Amino acid sequence: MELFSNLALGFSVALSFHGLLYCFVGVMLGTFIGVLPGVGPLVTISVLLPITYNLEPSSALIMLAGIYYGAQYGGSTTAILVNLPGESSSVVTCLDGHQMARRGRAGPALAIAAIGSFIAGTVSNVVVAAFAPALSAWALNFGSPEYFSIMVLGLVTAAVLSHGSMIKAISMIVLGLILGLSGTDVNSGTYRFTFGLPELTDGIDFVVVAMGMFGLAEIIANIQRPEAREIFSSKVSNLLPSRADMKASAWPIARGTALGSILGILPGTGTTISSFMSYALEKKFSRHPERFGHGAIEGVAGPESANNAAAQTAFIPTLTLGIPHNGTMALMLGALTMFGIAPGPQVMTSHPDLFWGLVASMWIGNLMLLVLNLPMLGLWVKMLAVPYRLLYPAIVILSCVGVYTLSNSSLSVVLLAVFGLVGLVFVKLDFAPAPLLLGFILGPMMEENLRRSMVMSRGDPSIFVTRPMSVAMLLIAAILLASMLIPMIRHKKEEAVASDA
Amino acid sequence: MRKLCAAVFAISMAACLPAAAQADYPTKPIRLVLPYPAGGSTDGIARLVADGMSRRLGQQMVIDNRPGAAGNIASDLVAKAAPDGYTLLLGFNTALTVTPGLSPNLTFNVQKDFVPITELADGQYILVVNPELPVKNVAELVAYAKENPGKISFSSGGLGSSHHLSAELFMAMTGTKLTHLSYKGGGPAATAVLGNEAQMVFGSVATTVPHIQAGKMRAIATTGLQRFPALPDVPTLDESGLKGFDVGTWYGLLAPAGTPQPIIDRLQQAASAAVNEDSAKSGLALMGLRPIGGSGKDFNDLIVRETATWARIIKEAGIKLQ
Repeated sequence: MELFSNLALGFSVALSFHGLLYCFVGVMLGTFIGVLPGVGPLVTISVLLPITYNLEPSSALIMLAGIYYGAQYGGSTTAILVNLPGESSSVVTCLDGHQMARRGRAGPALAIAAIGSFIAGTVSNVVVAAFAPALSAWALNFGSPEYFSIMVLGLVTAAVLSHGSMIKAISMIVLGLILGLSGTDVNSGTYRFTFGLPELTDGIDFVVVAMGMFGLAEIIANIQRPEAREIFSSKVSNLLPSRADMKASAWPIARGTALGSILGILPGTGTTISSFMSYALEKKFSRHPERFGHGAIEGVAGPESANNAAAQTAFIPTLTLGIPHNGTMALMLGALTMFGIAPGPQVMTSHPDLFWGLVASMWIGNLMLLVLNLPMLGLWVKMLAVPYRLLYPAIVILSCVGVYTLSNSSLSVVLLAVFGLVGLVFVKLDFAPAPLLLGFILGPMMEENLRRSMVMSRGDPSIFVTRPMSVAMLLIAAILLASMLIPMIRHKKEEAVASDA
Repeated sequence: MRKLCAAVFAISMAACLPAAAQADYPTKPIRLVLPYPAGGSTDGIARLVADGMSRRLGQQMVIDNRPGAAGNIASDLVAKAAPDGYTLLLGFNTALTVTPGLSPNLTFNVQKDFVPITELADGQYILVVNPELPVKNVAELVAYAKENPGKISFSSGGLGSSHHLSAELFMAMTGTKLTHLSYKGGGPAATAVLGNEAQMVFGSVATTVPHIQAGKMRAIATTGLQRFPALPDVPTLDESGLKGFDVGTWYGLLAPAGTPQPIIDRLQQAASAAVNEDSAKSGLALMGLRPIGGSGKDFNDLIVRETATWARIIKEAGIKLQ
C-alpha cells in the first residue's frame, strides 16, 4: 500500500526530533496566539515567517501549520471563557459556548470543543492522506482556463456564504480586486498603479494589507470597546462532560466533521463558513432548536469540529493546486516559495517528505493540543489579565517589525498604517474585511489566468465553456449567483408590494 | 541633477579617503545587497559567498535583502552608495544586462555606476519539452515548429526573463514562430510544461532536472557552450546547429563606481578564493552552478557583451516595456 509507505515516511519526518520540536513550538505558539483576542494565526505567521527561513522547509511548514491549527484551538478557549473570539472562526463558538460558561459549564464546553476538534482533525487527516494524491494527479490537468473558472467560483461562493449585507460583501470583493491591480502586468511588463514607487512594481504585499486591515484595525477598534472584556473564569470546574453531553454531541461532531472536511477542500470557502453552516445545520436537526443560544452543547461541538476539519482539509488545495484557501494559507504558500518550492501539484511528488511530514505532524499536533490544552486552561485565563495598554503596543510594534522584514522596505510600514486606518473605517461602517482580502488574493491570479487562457485560445473566449471542468465550475458559480440574487429581488418586490398596500 | 550630486559626492568621498584607511580595509562589517528575498536560491549563493569572504577579510559580511522591481531596487541602492567598499551588490544577469535594454528610464547606469569586481558563478538553462511533443532533438523541434507554426507554446517566468529571451533568441536563429505564455516566475512556467499547457521552456536546472529524471520532461538541449555535467547525453544548442547560441545565468559582485582600486583587488581575491573552495563548489553544484571568480575586467567584458546582445534581440523581437 502506497498510502502506508507514504504515511510511514510522513511519521518518520514528523516523529524526528525536529519534527516534534517544531510541531510542539507551532501548536504552543498557535494556542497562545489564538487566546490573544484579535490576534490570529495570520499575524503570528507573518511575524514569524522570517524566522522560519533558517529552518528546513519541512520543519518550517510543520511549525507554521501548527500555529495555524493551534490558533483554532486557542480561539475557542477565549470564545468560551470571555465571549471574545480569538479569531473569526470562533465567533460561532461564542454563541453557545459562552452561555455554557455563564451557567458554570465552562469545563464541559472547553472539553467538548477539544474532543470534537481532535476527532474532526483525525478524520479529516485521513481524508487528506487518502484523497490528496488523487486530487493532485487530477490537478495537473488543471490549466489556466480551469484556474480562472475555479477562482470565479471562489469569489461567488465567498459572496454567497458570507453573512451580513450582500452589497457590502460584493463591494469589498471589488475593492480587493482593484487593489490587486497594482504592480507589473504579467503579459506586457507594464507597471500599473505604482505611482512611480519602485517598491510597488511587484504589487502590494498581501501581508501588509492583511495585517493592516485585520490586525491594526482590530486593535484600534478593540480599544473603543471596553465592554467586551469581562472575564468569566471563576467557575471553571468539573472539566469533563457528562455521559449525556457526550451522547448529545456525537452526531453534531460527526456532521460537523463531514461538513468541514468538504468545505475545507473547496477554495474560497473556509473554516468560518463551515462553522456557521454547521451551527445552522445543528439548529435545524435539533428537536429543541430553542435551546440554541442558551448553552446547547451541540452548538459548540458541531461548529468546533467543522472548523477544525476544514482547517486540515484546506491543505489539500493549498498543497496540490497552489490555491490559497485563506490568508493564512496564502502566507504558508508564500513561505513555500521562499524556500524555492513552487506551490502546485508537483509538491507532493517532488517533496514527499514535506507533504507527508506535514500530514503526519497535523495528527500529532492535534493529539498534542488535546493533551496540553486542558491542563493549561488556568494559565490561559491568567494571560488575559495582561492590561491592554501593555498588550496592544507590543502587538503593534511586532506588526511593524514583521512587515518591514518582508522586503526591508519602510514603505511597507507606511502602507501598514494606511491599511490599518482604512480597516478601522470599514470596521466602523460594518464592512467585513475578509471578502476584500479574498478579492485581493484571487484578483491578480484570476487576471493572469484569464489573459493566459486568451493567449492560448488566440482570443476566443469559448475556451472557458468548451473545457468540461471549466464549464462545470462556471455553471456552479452561475447557479450560486442566481440563488443569491433571486431571493434578494423577490424580497425587494415583496417589500415594494407591502409598502404599496 | 541628482546624479550629478551623487557623482560629486562620490568623487569627494573617494578623494577624502586617506591611503592608510585603504590599507586597513575592511575595518567594519561589509553590506552585501541582494536583489532577492531571503530564502531563494540567490540567497543561498550570497550566504555561501559572504561566509567565505568574511573568513578571508576578517570582517562580517552582512546580507541585506532588497527584492523588488526585477532587481532595480537593489541596483539603485548600491549605485548611489558611498564608494568605500562597505556596500556591495550581488548582481545577476538579467538585472544588469537585460533591464538596461528593456527599460530606458532607469535611475542608474549599469556600465557607469558600477565597478565589476568578479563573476562569482555561472550556470545554464535547459531546453525541455513535454514528452507528448513528438520531437527528440533540436532539428526535429525546429521542423515540427515550422510545419505547425504557432502551435508550440513556450512558457516563461515573465516578460524579459531569461526564459523569455532565450526563446526569442531561439526563434530568431531558427526562423520559427512560437507562442509566448507568461507566468509569474520560473516554477509555474515549469509546471505549465508538466501539464502540457506550454510545450517547451528554457528552464533552470532546479526546475527541470528532477522532472527530466522522472520522465515528465524531455531534455532537448542545454544553452551553454559546454554540456551540462549532470546531463552528459544532452547536446548544447551550439553543437545542435545553432552556432554561437550561448545563454546562461550568472551572478557577480559589483561595487559603486569610484571605489578605490586596492579595495576592489582585495575583494576580488577574497571572493575568488571563497567560491573556489571545496565546500562552496559542492554548494554551488547543488544549484547547478559552476564557480568562476575571474578578473574584474573579464566580468566587465561579459556585462558589455551581453548587454549589446540582449539590446539587439530585444530590438529585433520588438519587446517593449513602458
